[in-house]
Amino acid sequence: MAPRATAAPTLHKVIMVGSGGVGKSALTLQFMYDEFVEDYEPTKADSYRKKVVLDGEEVQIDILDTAGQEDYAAIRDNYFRSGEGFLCVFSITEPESFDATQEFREQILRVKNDENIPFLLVGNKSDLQEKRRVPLDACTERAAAWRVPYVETSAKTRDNVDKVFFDLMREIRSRKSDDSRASNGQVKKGKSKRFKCQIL
Amino acid sequence: MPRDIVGDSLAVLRIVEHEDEETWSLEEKPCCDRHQRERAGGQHDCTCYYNYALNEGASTRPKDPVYQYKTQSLPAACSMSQTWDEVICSALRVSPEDIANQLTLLDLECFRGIKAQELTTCAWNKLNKLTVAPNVVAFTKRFNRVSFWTVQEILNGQSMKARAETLAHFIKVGKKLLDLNNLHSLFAVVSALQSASIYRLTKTWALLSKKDKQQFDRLAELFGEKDNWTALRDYLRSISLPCIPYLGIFLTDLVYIDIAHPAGSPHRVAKMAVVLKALERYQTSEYDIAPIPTVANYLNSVRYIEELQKFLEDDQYKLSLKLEPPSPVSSCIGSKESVKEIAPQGSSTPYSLSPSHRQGSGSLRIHGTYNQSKFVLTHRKCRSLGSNIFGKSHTDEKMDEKTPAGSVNLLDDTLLESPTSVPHDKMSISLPQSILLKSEALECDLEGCVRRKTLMKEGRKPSLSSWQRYWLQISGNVLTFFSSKSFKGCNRSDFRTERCKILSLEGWSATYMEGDSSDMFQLANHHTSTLYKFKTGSESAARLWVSKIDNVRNMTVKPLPVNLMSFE
Repeated sequence: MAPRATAAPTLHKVIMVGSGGVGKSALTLQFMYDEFVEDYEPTKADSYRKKVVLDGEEVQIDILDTAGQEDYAAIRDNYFRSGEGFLCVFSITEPESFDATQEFREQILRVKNDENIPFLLVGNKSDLQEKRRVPLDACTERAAAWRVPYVETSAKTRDNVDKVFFDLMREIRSRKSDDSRASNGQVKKGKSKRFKCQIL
Repeated sequence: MPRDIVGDSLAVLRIVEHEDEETWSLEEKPCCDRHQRERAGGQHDCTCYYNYALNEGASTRPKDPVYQYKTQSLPAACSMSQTWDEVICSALRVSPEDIANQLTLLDLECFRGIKAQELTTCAWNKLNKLTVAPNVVAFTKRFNRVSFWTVQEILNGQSMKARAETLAHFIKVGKKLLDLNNLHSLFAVVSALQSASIYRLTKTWALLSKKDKQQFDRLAELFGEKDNWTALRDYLRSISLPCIPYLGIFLTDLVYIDIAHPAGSPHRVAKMAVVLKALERYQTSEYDIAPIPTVANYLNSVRYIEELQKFLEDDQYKLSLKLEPPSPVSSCIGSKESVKEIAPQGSSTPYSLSPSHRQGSGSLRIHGTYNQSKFVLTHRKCRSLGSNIFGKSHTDEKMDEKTPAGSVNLLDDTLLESPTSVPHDKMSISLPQSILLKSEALECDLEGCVRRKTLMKEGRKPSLSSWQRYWLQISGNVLTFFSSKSFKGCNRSDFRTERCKILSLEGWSATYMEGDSSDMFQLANHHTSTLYKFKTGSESAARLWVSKIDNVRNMTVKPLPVNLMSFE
């Protein structure tokens, strides 16, 4: 069971999306375990949960990564729904994976019904510049069109790995505080429009 | 011949065709099929558990806008008759228990086929997955198809009540699957009910009994991703065989082991062995279930082109929006919304009622991307490449050597464009001299000589497929084919005046094809798993067709506000 909300630090739910083989799991493992990756136990309940200090505040990050299940397209809607922020990962060496980000973005927006959902476009495998097949311009252009940050990472060299998770958590945090401010105010701003539970 | 139930239930005209035939028969709509069958007498006596849905269908269908085109009926030969031998036309006609049982038998066979080495490669989502991990891929495919079928069956309900009934039916199927420990299909069904298309049908869910809702909650809880799928993992540990597990979490575990313990590291083999052993144990499962071939055939008949899954889901989502148009988000208060809510169904773009659209600049982005993504699907490639679809120059000299009737000069292809279809400033940039724009073409929006090849017909590859020349016209949301009179010639006079095929564009999407030849586009119907390739003679013509077909699709799905576009 989840720790009691009053006792536990704020939990930020991050979802990794992207095609198979772009390095989602490598990024996750790097961030979660760093050099202690040997400790990783796939089936433990807290394997993807970690306490971190975000700008002086202790928070918990919960990462959902369905690496390996990319072809189980039918399950996406539901777990996207549970996410508070998304790292949309592609490999800069693989244009198809870059193309796929478009679909992931669309699907996330559809499910969350929220264009301001915390979201980072992440170009992974930045260590493989010589094999680069997705031009930087295209990446930044897409990120600008979506109005989301673009960051290049390397799970291998650990370049920017912490940055993407922390940047996303900051967005989630600021989003949450916007929301609570909005819900305390008299009139909710459109910005705070969240996907309400429509059933049950 | 297995039926494509997906296609059957599609609310479009269904065209039955045979390659190389001159005449085409126009298929009646699904509900009519049902009635035909019923008229035909009791020869198809499948157990009818809930046949009310059929009756309801009859009364509501004709209101469908597509129906008007039925009046153009061509000879109404019913060439589908051979497929009705053993008819199960809807999931409601099969008891939840039978569905669950037969799904389980089908799943088990597929699941037991999975080999350990398919799993250890971690290549089931790589490019070579079909050769390296064919059984894993097949098992995953089963999952997606069951899920897709569940969504489609619910959306096919003609009334809200019918949809709620189907929804409840599938919850019962889910319960039976749980009883059988078939977590694979159970998750597929649960995912379907949680998909964007079904989840948002608030009014439909509201019609469910409390008992059904609670049942669904219990089923869904099992598949919560919370705490690394703890609920599911615990449940799997708690039950005894037989069991068909949800393979997905094992796949994720393997991928993570693969990364955490790369080849050569000491724990890799042992860690992977734990996963493999668990799966091997499940593979020894046996079920004492008698096969029911009619039900199995029905369940097996769900098929579509995997690559088109995304488009398929988009279509389902559009249908869902049509069935229950989005209402203002609950956080929004004020009289405006309540007024808007009364607006006629389907008359607004999705989300246009949502508060974001009244928030100034912040809303523009979603409007742009969303509409694009939702309704101009076929432009995704172009957008992803950052190119203007009309802005590219091209060579239209390209001839296709493979074309059988090689003497046809594609440069002579003539396309007629009505003034309203595409803004001229865009077209004039790139259209070659071979494409003529004429404003007097009133009865059709676009026409021209094309060649067509069938890549996939109702989920099957045609044994013989060649390029056929047609005169093609779009008018309204209908694509009309005229067969050729002679072996060559690309003018209108080289084709017959009587049409050989009429195709309602609903459910079809066109995509420009990048490839060896730049003049091709592809027309796909994911519901019927049918895929055609068209050659138009030039890139701009291909793009024009794509954009035109798109426009039509968008029009039929959701008309844009009048101030943005006019559709006279």
